[in-house]
Amino acid sequence: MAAFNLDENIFVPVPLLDMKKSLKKKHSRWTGTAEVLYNQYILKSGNDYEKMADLVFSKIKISKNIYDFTPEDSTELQESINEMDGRFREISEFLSTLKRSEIKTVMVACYDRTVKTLWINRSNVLRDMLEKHTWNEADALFYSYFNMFINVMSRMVIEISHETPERSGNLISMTGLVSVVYGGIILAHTEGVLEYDDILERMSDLSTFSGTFNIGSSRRIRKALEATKSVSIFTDQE
Amino acid sequence: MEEANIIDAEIVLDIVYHERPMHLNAVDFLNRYGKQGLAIESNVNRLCQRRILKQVGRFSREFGEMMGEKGDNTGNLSLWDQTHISGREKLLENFKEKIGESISINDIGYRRFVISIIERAKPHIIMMDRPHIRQYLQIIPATLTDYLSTGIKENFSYLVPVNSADGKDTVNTRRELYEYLSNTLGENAMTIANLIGLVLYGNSSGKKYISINFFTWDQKFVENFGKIKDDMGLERLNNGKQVKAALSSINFEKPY
Repeated sequence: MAAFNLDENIFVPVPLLDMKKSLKKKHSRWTGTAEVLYNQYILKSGNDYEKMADLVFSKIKISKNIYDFTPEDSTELQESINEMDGRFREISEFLSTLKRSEIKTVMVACYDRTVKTLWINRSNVLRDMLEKHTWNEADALFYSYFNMFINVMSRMVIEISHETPERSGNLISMTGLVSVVYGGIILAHTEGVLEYDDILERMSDLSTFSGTFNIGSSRRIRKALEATKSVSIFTDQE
Repeated sequence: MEEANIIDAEIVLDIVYHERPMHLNAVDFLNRYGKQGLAIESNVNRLCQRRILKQVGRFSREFGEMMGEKGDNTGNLSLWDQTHISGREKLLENFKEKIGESISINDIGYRRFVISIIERAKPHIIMMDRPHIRQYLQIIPATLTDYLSTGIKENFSYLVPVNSADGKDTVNTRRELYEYLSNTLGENAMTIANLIGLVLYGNSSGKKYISINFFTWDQKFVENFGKIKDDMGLERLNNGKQVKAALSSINFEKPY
């Protein structure tokens, strides 16, 4: 199977790379640190990539669904990242000194980039799936999950960008959590450690608020999908 | 303050899916309340989605395996791709038979699902080659969950519990209750915790409920609820007294 590449990065709610692009020159002291952290923890070639990946994998398994997330969960996640390396804390503290409008700009850029990266990689994901000789049940769900996740993330980015800077804070935290907990499934699949129960649970949850969407396909496939979309599930006793 | 009429997963499925044996009874039941007159809470939605994903994930894997079976002829072509359109119907029949033979008595629902999906897809997939069918199999999970979500939106009002933006205590109470109940009640625990949450705090749109009628055929669910009322020591929880009081506002009814 060809390596499935999402810019070889992990999604974390620290907008490291985007800081460089989005912040004004007066903040340049921090963008250097952000770039070092990005190379060390987020890029797959980085020395501490596995530490960050393990943290993300641990979050896939939390027994909370999206309606149960609280701002404390977001703080806890950020704290775990900060504990990994003191420089993450410095970045967080610096971010908290920014104006709300600046934070909103940075975060929208960050999540928007995540969505675009995912979108660009859709065809690679499908190609990798079709190249596999056999699928397990997690594989069978994965491409649909991938598209569903893009749909949810892009809806959240749109919502943030429509909110006032003052009211966008909660939504930004929530999107950070979603990007880690639900995006973690994508990372786990890429790394070959995805468990069926994890994708099943997260996908059941994600599909309750993903909204209606279509996955692009050829006319012939669309016809088959149309014919089968209303197929029923039955109860064993029936 | 109003009364909420909330339904369980089986009733949701009966209403949304025309092929289910109780569909017509379920539609009569829906008509008594009108569209959006019945409600569904978020965990019931999740359970419905989970059920469909389990079946379609398994189908996608098993059918994908069949597609990969090699034929007798030389070369890398699969048996499917080597077979003329007229012979592919037979391959589909063989697949259905194989599924029928291999499944246990607890999988009758899955067998019916497979038969139904194959019958519907047959005219289209016999014209397709293996890569296209595998592409179809990768997209069908999202298509089925999307259809279910649309059916839910069209027919029912959707009650989302109060979330953290509205107040963390409400989330914490619901979580505490869920964790307390989950060992005993399994997948029912979240639904019960959400129902209690709805009585205590209303839904995310700020609507409050004086009582809830929960429609279900599931006798075990009702028994579990009785257990909570009688002897699960809810007083020990932080908001135990309020939770106990909320229980008396939840009633159970058989739907049809």
